[in-house]
Amino acid sequence: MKKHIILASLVSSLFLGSCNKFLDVLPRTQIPADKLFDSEQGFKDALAGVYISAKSSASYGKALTFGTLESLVSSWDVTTNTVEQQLGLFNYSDNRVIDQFNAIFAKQYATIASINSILQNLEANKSVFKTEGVYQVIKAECLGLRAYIHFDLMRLYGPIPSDPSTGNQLAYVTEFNREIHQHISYEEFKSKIFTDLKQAEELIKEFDPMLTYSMNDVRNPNGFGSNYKPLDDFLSYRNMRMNYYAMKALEARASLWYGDKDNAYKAAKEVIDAKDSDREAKFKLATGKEFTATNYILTSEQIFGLYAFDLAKTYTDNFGNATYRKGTSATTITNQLYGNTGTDFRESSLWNIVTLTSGSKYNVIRKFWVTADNVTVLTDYKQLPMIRTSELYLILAETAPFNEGVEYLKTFRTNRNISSLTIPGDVPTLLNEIIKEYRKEFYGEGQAFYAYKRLNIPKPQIVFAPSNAVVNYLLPMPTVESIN
Amino acid sequence: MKFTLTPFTKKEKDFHSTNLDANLASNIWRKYEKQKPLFARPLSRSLMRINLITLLLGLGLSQVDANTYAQQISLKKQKSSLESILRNLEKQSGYSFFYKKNEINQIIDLSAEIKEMPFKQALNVILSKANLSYDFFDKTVVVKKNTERPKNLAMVTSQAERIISTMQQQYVKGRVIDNEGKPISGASIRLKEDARKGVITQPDGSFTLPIYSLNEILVITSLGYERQEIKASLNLEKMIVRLKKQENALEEAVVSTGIFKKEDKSFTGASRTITTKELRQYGARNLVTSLRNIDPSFNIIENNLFGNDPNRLPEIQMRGNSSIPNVNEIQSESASQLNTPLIVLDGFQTSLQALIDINENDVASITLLKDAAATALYGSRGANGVIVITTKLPRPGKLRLSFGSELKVENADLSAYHLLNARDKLELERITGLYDSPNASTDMPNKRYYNFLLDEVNSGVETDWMAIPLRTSYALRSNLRLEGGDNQFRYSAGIQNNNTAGVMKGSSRNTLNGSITLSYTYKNLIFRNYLNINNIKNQQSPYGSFSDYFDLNPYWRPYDKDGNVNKVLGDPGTTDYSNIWTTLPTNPLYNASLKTFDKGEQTDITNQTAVEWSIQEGLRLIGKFSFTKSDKQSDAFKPAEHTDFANYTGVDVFRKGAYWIGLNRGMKYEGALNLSYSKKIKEKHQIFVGTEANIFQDNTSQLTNAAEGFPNSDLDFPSMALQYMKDGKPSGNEYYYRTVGFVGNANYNYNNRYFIDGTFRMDGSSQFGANKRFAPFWSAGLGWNLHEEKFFKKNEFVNRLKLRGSVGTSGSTKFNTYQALTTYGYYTSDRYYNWLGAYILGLGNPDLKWQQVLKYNIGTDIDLFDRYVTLQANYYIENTNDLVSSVNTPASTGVNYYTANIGKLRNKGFELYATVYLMKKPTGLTWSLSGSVLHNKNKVLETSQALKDAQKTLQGDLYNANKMYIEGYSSNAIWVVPSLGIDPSTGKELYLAADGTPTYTWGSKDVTAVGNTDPKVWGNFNTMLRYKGFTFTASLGYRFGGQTYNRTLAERVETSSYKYNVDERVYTGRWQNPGDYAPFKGILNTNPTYKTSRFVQDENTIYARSFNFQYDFRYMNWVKKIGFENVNIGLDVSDPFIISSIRQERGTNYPFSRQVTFSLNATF
Repeated sequence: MKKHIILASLVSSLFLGSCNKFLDVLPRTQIPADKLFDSEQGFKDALAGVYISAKSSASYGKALTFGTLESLVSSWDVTTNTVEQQLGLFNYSDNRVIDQFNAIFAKQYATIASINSILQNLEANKSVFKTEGVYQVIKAECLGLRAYIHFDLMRLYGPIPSDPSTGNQLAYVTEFNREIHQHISYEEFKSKIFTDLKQAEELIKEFDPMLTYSMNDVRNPNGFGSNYKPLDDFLSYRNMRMNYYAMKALEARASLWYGDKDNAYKAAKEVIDAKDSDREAKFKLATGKEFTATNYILTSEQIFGLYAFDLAKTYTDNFGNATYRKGTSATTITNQLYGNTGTDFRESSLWNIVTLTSGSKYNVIRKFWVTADNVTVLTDYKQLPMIRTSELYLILAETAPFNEGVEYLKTFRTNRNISSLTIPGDVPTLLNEIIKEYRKEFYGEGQAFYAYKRLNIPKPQIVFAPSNAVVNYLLPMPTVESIN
Repeated sequence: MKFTLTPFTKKEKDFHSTNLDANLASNIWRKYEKQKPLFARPLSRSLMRINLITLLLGLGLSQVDANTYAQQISLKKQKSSLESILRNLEKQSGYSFFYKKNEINQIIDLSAEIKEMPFKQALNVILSKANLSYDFFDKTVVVKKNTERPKNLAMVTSQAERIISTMQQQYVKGRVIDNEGKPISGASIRLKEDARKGVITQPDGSFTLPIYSLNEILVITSLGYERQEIKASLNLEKMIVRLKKQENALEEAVVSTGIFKKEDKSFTGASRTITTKELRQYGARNLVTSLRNIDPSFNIIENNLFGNDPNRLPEIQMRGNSSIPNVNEIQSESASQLNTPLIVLDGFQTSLQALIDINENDVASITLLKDAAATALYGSRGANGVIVITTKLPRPGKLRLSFGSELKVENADLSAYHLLNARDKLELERITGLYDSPNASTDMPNKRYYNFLLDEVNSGVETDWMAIPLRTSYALRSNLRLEGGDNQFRYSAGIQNNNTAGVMKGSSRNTLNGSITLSYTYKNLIFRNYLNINNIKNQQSPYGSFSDYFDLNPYWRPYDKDGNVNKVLGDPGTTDYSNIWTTLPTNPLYNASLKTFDKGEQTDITNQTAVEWSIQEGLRLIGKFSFTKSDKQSDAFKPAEHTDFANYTGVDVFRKGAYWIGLNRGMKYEGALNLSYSKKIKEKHQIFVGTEANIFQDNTSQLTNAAEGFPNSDLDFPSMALQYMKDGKPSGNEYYYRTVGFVGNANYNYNNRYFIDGTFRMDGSSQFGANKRFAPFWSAGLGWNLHEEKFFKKNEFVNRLKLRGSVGTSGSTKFNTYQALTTYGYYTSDRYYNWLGAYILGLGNPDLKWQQVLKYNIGTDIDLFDRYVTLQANYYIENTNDLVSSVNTPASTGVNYYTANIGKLRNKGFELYATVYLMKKPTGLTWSLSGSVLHNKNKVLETSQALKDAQKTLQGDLYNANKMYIEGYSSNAIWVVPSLGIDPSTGKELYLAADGTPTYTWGSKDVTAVGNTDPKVWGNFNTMLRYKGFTFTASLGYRFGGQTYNRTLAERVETSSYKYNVDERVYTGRWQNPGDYAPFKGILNTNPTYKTSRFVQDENTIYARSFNFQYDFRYMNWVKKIGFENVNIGLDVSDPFIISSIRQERGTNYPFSRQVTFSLNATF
C-alpha cells in the first residue's frame, strides 16, 4: 500500500511538474522581467530603454529642454490663453499647466522605476554577466542616472535652496514595487543623491573608457584613427551615456545647488582639468569652428548628451514650423538677450528667420537643427545636451576664488567671441554676469529656470518675463502624486 | 433510395431491422400511438413462423443448488389443464416454467394428487404423465417433449454445445437503440406478465433475456424514451428495439454538460435544452436569435448602433454581467465581449462566431447551463454561463438525403425615423434665422441661396436619402445532408451555403460550411470524428455608415441632370452658400460610387475526434482531441479620388489612395481524457463518478499593414502602392496561452428521491504567475424528487415535482494576460543610438488571484395534469468576488496603476418558465402557450479607486450618458444630471444641483443615477398551434420597467444646428415663445444640450420576434409515392414589429430589418 502511495504521489508530482512546464508559454509581444534579465543582452536592452524613456518628449526630449521649462521663463512668443502663456505667468493652477507638470513628474519617476527594476535584477542575476566591466558600467550608469533624475525632480518641484523649509518634499525612490514611497526631507534627499553618485563614480572609475580615451575615440570605436578598440560596442559612445565625467559634472552642479561651493569647485575642476593621452584637455569649450560646422548643439561640449535619432523631426515639428519662436525678426533677441554685441557666435549663428508657407516670417532658434541623414560619426549632432563644459566654466567662475573665477568667465567669453564685454569688478557683478550667461548659453536647454530658481532671482532680472507675471519658483505637488 | 415501408408482410428472412427503424424514426407521431403497440399484431404473425427452438446457453448455468429441489410440494387437481397445474407449481415453488404453449395446450385433462412431495419428484410425477421431460435452469424449469432435440445451434461455443444436450433455455437477444441509432444503455427489459423478471441493457444497448413462453410480451422502458411493448422474437438475427424519445421529456431526460452526460432526474443544476426542431420553429435569422426567442435568459444586448449588420457579432449575456471592464478598457470594444458565455461544441471550447456560422442541420441540441452546479465543471471559464452544442450523430440505414433551402427576404425597418420633409425643413431653417444676417453684404447672398433652395423644393426635389443606401435584399441558404451506414460504421456529410445579404447595399456575409461525421463501433470501442470546414466571405457596404444618409436634407439632389453623382450637395453654382457652409457637404454617394471596398475572407478548419471505450458495465473511458485552425484576411481600399484625401496637396498628392491589409491567424487545440463510472446498487442507490483532465492551447495573431499612393483606382493591389503608410508601421497583437484543468464530479441518487451532486475543478493557466497558476473551483448541489415520495404518489395532478439547489464557484479569464507579472516590451518605433530598448509594460502583482463568481441557485421543475402544465423556476444570487481591477499608484511608483482583486459585483434574479397545453390531441389539434418572466438586479458592490478615477472623464462627458461602474448602483444605471425641465419663461433648461437647488448651469458633480437600462422584468410569450401537418408558432418578447437614454431626443431633436435634417419633433416639441410648456429647449437656443434626465424615458417594449408557419407533408401519401420520406415547407417572419413606449431612432450606423424566410426541407 505504502508503495502505491509513493508511486502515486511520484506520478502526480511529475504530472504537475510537467503541467507547470506546459503552462510556461510566452507571448511574442512582451517578455516577463525575469526572462529579460537572464542574459547580459537583456540588461543592455533595459538600459537602452531607460535612455529612450529619458529622451521622450515628456522628459528631456522636449518638456525639460525647450518645452515646459523654457516656457516658464518665457523664452518663446505666446498667444493668449495657451498653456505656454499660463506657464510664463507662473499660473500653476491652470489645468493645462497641472497636466504638463503631472506628465513630467510621472515620466521622470517612470524612468526611475525602470532604472530600479534593472538595479534590483542586477544583484539577483549577477552571474549572467560574462563581459568584464559590463556589470559595473550598467550599475554605475543606473545609479548615476537615478541621481541625475532625482536631482532634476528636486530642482523643479522642490524648495528654493535658500529656504529648504518651504516647498515640496519628494520621494527618493530606490525600489521598484507596489509600496508607497515616503517623501523625505530636503537634507535626506540630498544625501541620497550624493550617496548614489559616489557609489556610481567608484564603480565606473575602473571601467569607463572615457578616462583613458578621448571623446572622439570613444565615439568612433574600432574606427579609423581611433585608439579605442573595444570587443563590446556597448562600452563605447560614452558621451551619450552617464559616464564618469558626467557624474562629476553632476556632482558639481548639485553641490552648487546645495551651496557646497568647495565641492562644486573641486568636481568641476576635475572635469575641466581632465587630459587625454596627448595632453590635450578632454573637454574644451567650443569655438566659432563648431558654429561654422553647423554643430549648433555643440556636441563637442556635451559631457553627457542624450542621443535623439529623431531630432531632425523634433526640429521640424517645433521650430521649423515656428511653434517655438521669438519675434518676427532678430531684433528682440539681439538686443534684449545678447546685448547687441555683433560678435557673439550665439547671436550671429544660432538664430535665423523662417518663412512659413503662409508667408509669415519668424525668428527661430536653430540650436536643435540637424541633418537627419548622411552623417559621419563626427558630424552626427543629434544629441540633446544634458550637461555641458560651458556650464562647468560658469560653475567654476561662481565657486572659485574671485580672481580665478573672473579668469574662468574670461575664458568662457573668449570662446563665445564676446571678450570685449566689461570684466566684472566685484562678486555681485560677477554673479550677475554669470546669470546672464546662463540665460544666453542655455537658451532652449531648460537650465535657465534652475539658475533663476537657485538664486531666487527677482522678476526684473528674468529676461523676457511678462509684466503681469508673478514669479513663483515653488511648484505645487503634482496631483498624480497625491492620488492614493 | 427506395426501401420497404411495410416489412411485416414479408418473409422473416427479409425481415431487416433497418426497415423497421426507418419507418419508426420517420414517424414523429409515434408517441400518440403508444396505446396500440406498433409491433404487436404484425410482429406476432411473423414471429409465429419463426422456428421456435433457438437455444442459447450461458456458462456456469449448470450449477444448480440441489437443496432447492428438496422443496415440499402439495397439489390436488382434477382434470385440469397442464398449464394451470404448472402455474400452481410456479406459485408454490417460486420457480418459473418455460414451455411452448402449443405443446402443452392439448393436455387439459390431467389429474394429480401430491402431498408434501419434493419439488423434483413432483415434477417427475406430473410431467411423465404428459410425456414431457424437464430441465432446470437456474430458477427456471424448462419443459419439453421427450423426443424433441435442439435444432438451431448457431452462435454457441463448443463449451456451450456440451451443455446444450442436457439443458436448454430460450433467450431473447437484441439491442435497444434510439432514433439516431445510438445504443441506449440501462434500458429495462421486463416481461409484461411478471415485471420482476427483467434485465438492463449493456452500454452498447445489448441485452439477453431468458423467456419462458413465446407469447411473452416484453416491456422496454428507459428514462426519456417512450415505453414500448413488443412480442419476444427468437430470430437468430438480433432483435433490434428502437425506442422513441419522449418529445417533451427530452430536455428533462439527459443534460448534456459537454463533459459528462447527466441524468436530469438527479441533476441539481439549472439548465435548458433546446432541440433543433424548436430552433427552427422560433425564428430563421440565425441560431443566436432563435435561442433568445426560446429562452430569454440567453440575452442579446440590442445594439442601437449596428442594428442587423450581418457582419457584426452580437453581445450576449446570461444572467447579467459578471465582469466589469478595467481602467484601460472602459471605453474600448473589448468590454462588450467580457460577459460572453463560454460556447462548447461537443465538449470543446469554440467561439461565438462558430455558434452563428454553424450549419443548423448538424445540430442535435443546444443546452444552456446557468448555475454553479453546471458551470463549475468549466471552472475558470464558466462564470458567464455555458452554451453546449451537441451535433447530430449519423443515423444508420440506407443512404438518406436531406435537403433544405431557404429564401430570405430582408427589408429595413425604418419605422423609428420621423424626419422632416423638404419644405418643412427649409421652413425650419428660415424661421430659425439661418439665412438672416444683420450685415447686408452677407444677407443678400444668404437670401439668394435660400431662394435657390426654395426653387429646388418647388421644382419637386424631395430626396429620400434613407432609401438610397438601402435595398430589399434576397439571400439564399441551402443545405444538404447525407447519412447512412450500419450499426458498426456510420457516416454523415453536410454542406451548407448561407448567404446573408444585409439591407445596406453591398453588405453581405456568405458562409460555406462543410462537415463530415464518421462513427465506427468495434466491440466496446466507439470511434467518432467530426470535421468541419467553414469559409466566410464578408463585405462591408461601400455606402459607409447609414448615419451618413439619414440626416441629409431632402432638398438636396443626389444626382445631376445627367444622372451622375453630385460630388457636393446643394451647390447653387455660385458662392452664395459661403456664409452658411465654408465648404459644401460632400455627397456620401460619391465615395460609394468609387471603387471602394472593405471585405474579408476567413477559413476555419475544425476537427474533433473522440474514442469511447466501455471498459465494463457503467465504466467508460473517453479520449478526445480537437483542433481549430483559422485564417482570415481582410482588405480595405480607398482610391485616390476618395474625399478622405481631398486635403492632400503638394508632394502629398502622390500619397492619395490607401490600402489596408489585415491578417489573422489562429490555432487552437484541446485534448481531454474522461473517465466515468455509474452503478446502481440494490435498485435504490445510483452513483455516478466522473473525472476529466484537459489541456487547451490558443495561439492567435493579428497583423495589419497599410500602404498608400494608388495612382489608378483599377490598380488596387497592395503592391501597386507608392509606399507604406507615411510614418506607419505594422500593427497588431499576438496572444498565446495554455490551460490545463482537472475536474471531478460525483453524484449520488437515493431511490430517485434524494440526490446530491459535487464538482471540484483545478484549473491552471499560463496567464498567471507561477505562484498563483492553479485555482480551485467547486460546486455542491442537493435535490429532492418529491413526486417519487409515497405520500405524493397518490396525488393525481402532480406528475413531477423536483426541488434543487446548488452553490459553487466558477471563474472568468477574459481579461488582459500577464497582469500578474512584471513584463517588458520592446520599443518598436524608438531606439537609443544603435541600441534597441526594452521598457516596463506594467508592474506585476504576484498576489493576483483568478476572478471568481460565487453562484447560488435554487429551483424547481414541476409537471402537472399529465404534463399539460410544466413549470420551471429558478432564483439565483451570483457574486463576483475578487473582481480584477486596477489600483492607482502615486506617480513616484513609476507606473500609473497595477492590477489587483478588489472589485465586487452582484447579480440577483429569478427566472420563471411555464408551458401550458390547452389541447393535446395526438391526431387532432394541439395548442400550447408558453411564457417566461425574468428579472435580474445588478449591483456594483466595490470598485477600485483607479476605476473611480478613470470614470471621472466619463462622468464629465457632457453629451454621452456613459455606462459607469459606481458602488451601490447597477452597472447599467444611467448617469445624467437631473433636470427640472424647460423653463417656460426662457426656454432654457433648469437643472437640479446636487445640493437641491435649481440651476441653469450643468455641472458634472451633479451627475446622478437616473434610471436603469435593465428592465424590471423581461421575457417572452410563445404559442404553438398544431393541427395534423400544420404548425404555427408565434414568439413575442417583452421588457418592462427599464429606462433608456433617448439619444434621438438629445442629438436629433435638441440639435442647435439646423444645417442637416432633424426629427420632426423639432417642429412640434421645442419651446418657441415665453409661456410655452415644452419638453424641449428653445428652438433658437444654440447652447449645446448636455446629458440630462429629460432624455431618460421609461422603456416598455413588446417585440414581435417571429411568426412561423410550417406544413409537414409527412401524412400525404403522395410524398411516399414519389419516394420521399418527408417534405416540409415553412414561412417565417422575423421581427415584424415593435411596440414601444419610447420613440427613438434605432440602428443608426446600420438599420434594423424585418425578414421573411421561405423554407423547404425534404428527406428521401
